[in-house]
Amino acid sequence: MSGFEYLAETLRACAEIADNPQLGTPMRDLFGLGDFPDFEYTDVFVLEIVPDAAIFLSEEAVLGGEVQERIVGFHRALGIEQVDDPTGLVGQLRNYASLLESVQENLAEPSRLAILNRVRSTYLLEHILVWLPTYLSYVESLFPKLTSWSQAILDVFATETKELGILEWNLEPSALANRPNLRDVGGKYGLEVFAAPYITGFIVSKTLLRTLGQKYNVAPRLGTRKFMLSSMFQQDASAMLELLTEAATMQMERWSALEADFGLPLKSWRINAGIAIEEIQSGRSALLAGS
Amino acid sequence: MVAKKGLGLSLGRKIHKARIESEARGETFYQGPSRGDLMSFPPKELWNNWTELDSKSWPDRVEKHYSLVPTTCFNCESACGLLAYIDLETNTVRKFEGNPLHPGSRGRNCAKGPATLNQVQDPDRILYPLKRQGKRGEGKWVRVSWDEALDAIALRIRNAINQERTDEVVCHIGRPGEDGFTERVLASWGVDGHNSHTNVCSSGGRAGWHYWTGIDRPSADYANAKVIFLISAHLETGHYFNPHAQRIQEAKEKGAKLIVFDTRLSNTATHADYWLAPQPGSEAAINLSIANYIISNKLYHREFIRRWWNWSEYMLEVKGVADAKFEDFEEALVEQYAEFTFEYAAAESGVDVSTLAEIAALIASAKTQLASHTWRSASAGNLGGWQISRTLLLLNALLGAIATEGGTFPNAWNKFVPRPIHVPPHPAKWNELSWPVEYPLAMNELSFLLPHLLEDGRGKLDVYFTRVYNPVWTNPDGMAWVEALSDEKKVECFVALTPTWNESAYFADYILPMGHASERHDLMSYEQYNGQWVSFRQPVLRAKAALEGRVVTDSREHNPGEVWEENEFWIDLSWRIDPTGEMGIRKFYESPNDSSRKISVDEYYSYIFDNSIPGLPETAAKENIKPLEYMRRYGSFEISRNVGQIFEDQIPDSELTDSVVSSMDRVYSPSPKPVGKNIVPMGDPDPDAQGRRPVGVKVDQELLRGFPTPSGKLEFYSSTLAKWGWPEHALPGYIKSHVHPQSLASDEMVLISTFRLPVQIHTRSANSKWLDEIAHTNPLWIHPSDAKRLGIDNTDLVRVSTEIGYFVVKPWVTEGIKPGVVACSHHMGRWKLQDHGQRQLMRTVTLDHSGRNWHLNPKEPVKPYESEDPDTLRIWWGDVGVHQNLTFPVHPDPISGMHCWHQAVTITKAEAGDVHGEVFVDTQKSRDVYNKWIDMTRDARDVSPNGQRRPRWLMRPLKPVAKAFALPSPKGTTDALPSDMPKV
Repeated sequence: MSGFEYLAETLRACAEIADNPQLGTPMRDLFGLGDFPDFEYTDVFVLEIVPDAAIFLSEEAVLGGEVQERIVGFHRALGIEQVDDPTGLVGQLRNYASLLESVQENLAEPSRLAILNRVRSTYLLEHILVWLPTYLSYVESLFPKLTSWSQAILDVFATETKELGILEWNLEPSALANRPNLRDVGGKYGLEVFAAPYITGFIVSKTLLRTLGQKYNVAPRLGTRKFMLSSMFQQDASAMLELLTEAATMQMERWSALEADFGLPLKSWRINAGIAIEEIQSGRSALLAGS
Repeated sequence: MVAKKGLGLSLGRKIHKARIESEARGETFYQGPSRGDLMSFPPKELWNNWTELDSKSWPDRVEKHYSLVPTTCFNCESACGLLAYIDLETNTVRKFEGNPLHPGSRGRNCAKGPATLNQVQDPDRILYPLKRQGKRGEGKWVRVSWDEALDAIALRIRNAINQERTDEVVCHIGRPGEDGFTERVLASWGVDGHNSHTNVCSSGGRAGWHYWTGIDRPSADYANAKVIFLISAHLETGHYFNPHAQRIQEAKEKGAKLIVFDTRLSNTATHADYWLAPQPGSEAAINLSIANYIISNKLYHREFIRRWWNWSEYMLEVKGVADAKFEDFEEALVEQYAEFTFEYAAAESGVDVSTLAEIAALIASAKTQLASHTWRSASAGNLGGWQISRTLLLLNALLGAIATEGGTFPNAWNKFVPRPIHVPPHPAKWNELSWPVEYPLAMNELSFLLPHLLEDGRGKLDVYFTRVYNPVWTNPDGMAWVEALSDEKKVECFVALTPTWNESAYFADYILPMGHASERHDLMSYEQYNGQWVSFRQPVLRAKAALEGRVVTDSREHNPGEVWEENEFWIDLSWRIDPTGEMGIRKFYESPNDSSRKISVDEYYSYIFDNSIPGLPETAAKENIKPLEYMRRYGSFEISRNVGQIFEDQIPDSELTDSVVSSMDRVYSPSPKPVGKNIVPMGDPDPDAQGRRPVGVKVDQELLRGFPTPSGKLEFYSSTLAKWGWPEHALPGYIKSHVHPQSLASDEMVLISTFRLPVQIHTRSANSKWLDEIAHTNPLWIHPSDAKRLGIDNTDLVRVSTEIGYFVVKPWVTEGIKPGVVACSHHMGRWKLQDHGQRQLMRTVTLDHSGRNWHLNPKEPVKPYESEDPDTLRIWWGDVGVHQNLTFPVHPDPISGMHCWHQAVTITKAEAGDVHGEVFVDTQKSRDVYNKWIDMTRDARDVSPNGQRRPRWLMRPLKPVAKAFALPSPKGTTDALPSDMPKV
């Protein structure tokens, strides 16, 4: 197929939305964002869980580290120009857009195209699908205004996954291959483990804690996610376990729905979320003891 | 599953269309936070009315509306782009940030850029013209009008010109403004009076470059290099550290290796893959050992050398072999550098053999992607320092890494100096006070010798300008400057053009307030990557008014007090010197639209932007604006990228009519030189005996542009050095420094005094409170082993004794300095004689002297004070360091003329009564040292091969007419110039 430049354009525009707190009217109109003031942008892309692969793919849920080294090494090995933020949402969208533009430019050069397609496939499976669909689906659930934005990205990558035949590979990305789950780590990280989606398989963000906190009558205190978790557990541990169960269940359903389009990476997220639900429900006392 | 199948493609089509339409309107579609470079820049189409929340109103969400007007930083030499945020409510500048459209700095700035705001708002700055009352240095001033000051100065200059005393008018340049502007002013007066600071700065580095390439600076393509080799602290300071550092970092991210030579553990060293701390002055020995490795292992770029080195000239002139084969040269090359083994370099430098071998292999592996750089650093510290840059470039030349992707370019190819409306003729008379006859090969004026040259009786000065320069503080031997500037027989009228108080201004007759980065016009262009750009410095409030359609004719209308800009000042002064036009000066300053009035800066820049910058008029036309408005609006313009190897360009047929090829393959042509738009300075090789100009060089039957050197090639062998008295240094080689261990007494150490701190810039940034808070003192770096040997710890004071005096300083015991070497930073030890003046970084002192013994005694430390700025009550520091330069005698390199900054010193515990910051100097001793170094020169009257006082082809600011190059006669006098120039 052709039209890669249009898919790239969509990714660049989506990167712009995640990168620019003061969008112009044309861009807001294209994505049906309506009024999207800079403080809303800040809520989603700055104060909410940081949209960065390293947060989603490391046990400690921290920026940088091995996840960053892995992708920087990948870029370097392929001679891809390093972006400022190689593991961040914006950097990855722009990088992938560049790849698609290169594909478009090299459609008439089969040997070059073959190399690009290998790069594209690897990039998509190893660095995009491992975290981005879950993040996007999650954002969509909390910020419906951004549905067109998240769906546009999801559709580009679903199209790419299909085009490249990734599903047929039936291959689990290396970043998720030996992924620990909540059962594996036990009480190693205490309650802070819920800030690490890599382990739990579901995402706990500030907005989620605020939103569900109201429902379960646990008052959120502003701070880091770990601080919020800690203070909310101190208020009502039992309610928090229910809150987390609901969050995990809700998200597991979302991951499950995405499996048809993205395959094993989403399955991995679904499985870990499922284990987390079981662990929360069956191991309440152990978790509470850990707190 | 994904709910909206096909959305990505269909939306992409719409976005694509919207983007094309938006960009066709000149808008930035993907505005990002900074168009991809930084995280917080507004898109250019919103600069007219940019809204931000007021930080001071937090937590209330109060909107502030700004007009963003670009300008160019005026602190260090990098000329980074700035954006002034002008509050639309108050019409004042609220902050400065980077200009993302600037091709060099790309929106990034160091701390000094935003701190421009401090300089603009400094409560102690000079706002009005001042005239001395009482004795020089007494500190009594009266405010005068610009008219009074200008008329008085103009009268003096007019008389000097009319009485043929043009060499009595000198302008001493500190921070360079617009390329060539002041030179052209002086040329229009017929005055050879340009006195740059370059010989205390970069002449050493330049000389090594110039003898090789005919161009005097490097421009490394860092971003594309595989190996970057810095003999400097270039990631944090220097020419042009911010634009270069970001590209070095890019290269590192792509896997490039960084090698740094620095005796200190500088910030740059901490980022290096290989940090070497060689014995100061041994750098050339290391370079030659690397060269030897490359040569003896045949790792060099054979074809590049064969085509582009002047090896056949070397074989003829040095080996006496006519028609030598390249293979003969290869053998000679092996022999030439065989002595420079790693073992030899290790013994000289103290760096171990295995490390040298490792970096040599690494450098060789870079092939044509070696980016190398030295500028001041070691080249400015050592006798023969110019050979450090010459041997560094030898490595590039061996690998063919000249003007390649990832290699190093001559700067003139990455720089654009647009031709102005007038280029006045060269002055007719040579200025002996700037270019003494002992230094025929000096790269720049021997400006730092001025007090000694005056004391020699070589002349006097009628009018002496300092332009954003502070010779008493910046130069070595500052007390000799105090003596000279205090003597009204030597310097009759001293005019300090300065934005702020400084040590020299206290001895001035007039202090004339000049603007900072946001208060003056200049057009800048520097070599910062493989491309060419120009950047506009402008008075931002004036520019805003102009963009709003208001007519502004004088920058003073919008500057604080009566602060002016130099361009309008020089135009006005020149007009007053020749108000009727009878002296032939006024014609250069008349409006092109009405000769009865002065040219305005709008007219001046309109001419340049309309006629001399390729592509700018077309780009501006796309936005339906004039080129001047484009530059006022956006501040910079990129002219070209990927310049490439200009020396490989074919000579156009139009220049080859009746051309001849010399026996050494130089191509000469009688065709007139095309009038180019870019007048960037470079070497200007001599014509042949028939007066035909050199237009290129014949290489393998092709007629190519070549290099602006006598041979047209890279001059491995410098016939200039050989013929002008220094044949032993005609090749890249190693000169042992004046601070070589063999020259040091057993109790002496080497003092490195030249390193800068990243947040200060000479003395000019002292009125930046943010910078002063970060950096305000300069302790003496000393290694723990030396401290232990001397019984010193961090609680002591030490005396550092030089050839002419001593200073008292606090030690800082650190492993970040090589044993046997001490270091004390630049910028600090600022002082003032009166209580008024700059108070954030200048302590009040007394200056006592008896005969030629001078004693600077700290009187009052810096302390909090009340002013219109509440922050001045929050000053928490009192220690502002020590003015070490006062204790340095002059060390002019006998070839390059560069002051060799490194000092042989003894370190002792301070004596009873010694006070931190105290300085003692005996200027009689400084005279003795001056005479000792003068004796090392080879006078043009003894060595000139052609009756000239200097090779005509060498670069020289404000180069006089050919006739003025004739040697003075008899020896020891400066008059009786022969009437006819000897034939070349």
